Amino acid sequence: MVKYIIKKLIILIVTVLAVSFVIFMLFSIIPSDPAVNKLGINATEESLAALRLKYGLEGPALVRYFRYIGGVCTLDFGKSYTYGMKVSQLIGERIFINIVLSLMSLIIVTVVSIPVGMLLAHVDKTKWENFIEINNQVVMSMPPFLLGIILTFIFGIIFKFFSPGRYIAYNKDFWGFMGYMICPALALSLPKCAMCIRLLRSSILEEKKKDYVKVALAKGNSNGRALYKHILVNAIMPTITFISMILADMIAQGIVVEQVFALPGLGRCLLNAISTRDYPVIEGIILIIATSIVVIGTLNDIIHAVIDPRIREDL
Amino acid sequence: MKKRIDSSLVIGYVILGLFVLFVLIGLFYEPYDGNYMNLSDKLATPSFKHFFGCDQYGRDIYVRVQYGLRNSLIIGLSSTFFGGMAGVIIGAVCGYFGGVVDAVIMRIVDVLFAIPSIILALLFVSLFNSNMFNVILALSLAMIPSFTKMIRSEFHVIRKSDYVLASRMYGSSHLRIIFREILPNVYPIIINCMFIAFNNSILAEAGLSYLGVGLQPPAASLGNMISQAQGYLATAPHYIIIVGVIMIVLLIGLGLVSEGGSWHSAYNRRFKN
Amino acid sequence: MLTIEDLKIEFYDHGIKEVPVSNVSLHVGEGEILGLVGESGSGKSLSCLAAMGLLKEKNAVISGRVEYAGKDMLSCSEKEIEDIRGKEIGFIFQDPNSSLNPLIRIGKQLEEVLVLHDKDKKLYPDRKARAIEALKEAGLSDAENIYKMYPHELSGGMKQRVIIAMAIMMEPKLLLADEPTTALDVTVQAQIIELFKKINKEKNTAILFISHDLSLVKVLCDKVVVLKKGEVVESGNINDIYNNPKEDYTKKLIAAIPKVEV
Repeated sequence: MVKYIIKKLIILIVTVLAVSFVIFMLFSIIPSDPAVNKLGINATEESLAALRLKYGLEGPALVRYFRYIGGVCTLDFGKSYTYGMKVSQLIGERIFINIVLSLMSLIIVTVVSIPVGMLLAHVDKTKWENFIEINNQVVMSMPPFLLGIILTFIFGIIFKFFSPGRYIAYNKDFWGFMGYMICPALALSLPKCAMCIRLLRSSILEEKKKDYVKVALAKGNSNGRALYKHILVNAIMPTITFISMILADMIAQGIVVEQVFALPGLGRCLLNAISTRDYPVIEGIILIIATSIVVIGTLNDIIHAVIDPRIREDL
Repeated sequence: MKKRIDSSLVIGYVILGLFVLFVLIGLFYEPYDGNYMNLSDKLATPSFKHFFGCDQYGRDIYVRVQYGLRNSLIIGLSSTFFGGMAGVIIGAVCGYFGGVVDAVIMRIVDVLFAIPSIILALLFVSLFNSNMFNVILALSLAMIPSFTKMIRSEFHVIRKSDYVLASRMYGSSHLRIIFREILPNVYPIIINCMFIAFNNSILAEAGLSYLGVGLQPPAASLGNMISQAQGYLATAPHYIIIVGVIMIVLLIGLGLVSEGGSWHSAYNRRFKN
Repeated sequence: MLTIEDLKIEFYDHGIKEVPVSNVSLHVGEGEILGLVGESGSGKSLSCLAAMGLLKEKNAVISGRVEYAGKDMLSCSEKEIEDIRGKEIGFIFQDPNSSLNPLIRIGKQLEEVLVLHDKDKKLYPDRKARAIEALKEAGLSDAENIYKMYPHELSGGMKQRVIIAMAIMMEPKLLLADEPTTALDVTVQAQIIELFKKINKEKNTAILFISHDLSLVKVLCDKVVVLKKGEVVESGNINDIYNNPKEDYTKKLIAAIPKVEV
């Protein structure tokens, strides 16, 4: 078990390094000089050189990469070209929104889809099935940003629960801030809930057919007990993987949804940085997102190994 | 076993067919020029003159939607085709031959997997310019990893099967085995992946355009129309409702076709490896 | 002890009626080993599952009479039947590889029987000891280790022994074995048959042995019921039927046994 976790952690670190390398190199090969961008084409060679030195742009790409990655280890992502402040500070101020948004969506998905999926698998009535299927299909097909607009329309304009376009900073009024996060989180998580319910339901129905369930019933288990003692543990495995995939997707989609609700999170920062060609900021944000996705994947693997003895063994 | 027609599949195909028809009609007949701005019709509500009403510049939404759908279909189809092709070929080679090349390519794929496709596309489009070609290129690139992973795992299993061995013994070349023996067997999976990828690329394109980094105005796209319409949510709700409903129905149609019963198995395959 | 009379099972699938079991009657007496033979699809397993209320298909209609120890199994409540399953009647299924929950340790799966039927630890105060004892009774000498293992760490034959151990945990009066040796290789098959004989002799447990293999039934059973397309075609003492079959179907089944020329 410990060996398995160590192995997974090593893979995690290697992947993150590779991701950072790819991102860094991508920005090194594009034919665009940030110093020229900032100072204009008429700038003197000395001032350009001075600026390059300031932003650490001198020397071969590989050397710069090692310097960069050394900085990243101490959470130093370099300096923003446009704001002149540290990228880590820039990210630090905004990342809280994304963390709250992702966690809230994750909680909604888990809390809603696991009980509902179980219930639907247990009830298993044909009449309901079609109704739920249609509903599911509609919700599932909804792109989060569109759902976000619909939610704004319903709760913001019709019911006036919140004023669209406004935002309360978390360090001013924490609960007000949380209130403003509910709609974005719903926009992100509702389509995923529908997918998750469907997956859990079908994997429960799949597991139900297996022999060990027959054995469990033959032992004298009631239907309900067999469901939650035997079937659920087995059926939840693909669901956990799916939730980890969903979480990764929600982090990415969050960037779009942020724009719908005008939240000043990483997404807006990234879009600004892209339009001003503020490379250190772009690199930093993408690296953080990619790292969190790799970490989620690793966590998923570890959870699987904890539940399933078969995975623990094939190292 | 009685063969039952999957009703959701049929509905899905009908919806997609109607959309294609709608776009095709637009090629031959359009009541207005979609880029013509008639400020006197600004934000006009639907009427017989303008079926879907007009946008904030007085452009006819019906025609704009047709343009947007056409662009979405072009982007979706071509990125799915190119990305899918590249992914299938890379996956087939990796899965069939294995070895060092396979190991190296799979590590690269793992790295690309860590960057969400929308961010990859966002990055790509913004580093170069936002035009249709670059959007297609970006979306194609973004979908290569998932195709590669899927096809590779299929090839990995099938290459060990007896009939491939038998074909080898008859002296078939590797190329022949890949294209004539194995590929037809993974064909249904490829088709299923293609539909899912098509769905994703339409979604991603809409997302990019919504963020303002996809197709640039005045070119129409469902995404940038939604983004514009959001500004008139309270004053002209018909704009967002029409574009939104069209987008959702399109995605439902795609969802029905791509899932049609095999959703669970498709995801199952994805989990295993 | 267990009596099945005129059992009939009908399936309705989109208006089409199917009758996989039309007329099955049999009786298992105390301490008796009854063989239920027939080719695949003749409704052997189906009848037994239906009799024990384990048939989960929504559109199945079961009629007839199933009586166990004076209780009507088809009309009694779900709770009553749950108390009988695992306690009075033990089950052994065909495929040992899929019959154990892959995520739960062997010991825990065995003890679950006690958790369900011996809630206040009256019969077996030490559950672990009982589980290890049952494993030993099922012929697993390395019981202490197996107790801690997961199903995937065992071979097919060992898993089937674990399932037998699970079935005899509560020392039931009747064992229902549904093709318990089909998925195993021949040497293991013989050992499992021996084990059944031993259990029958030592605990006086009645066994309903379902098989398509008449040669196994001949070695193990006292009586036999021959099933064809959901109907009983012949029944009686095993030796009578084996040496002097009346029905063509039975003759064919006997002829299908591979003969070893010495």
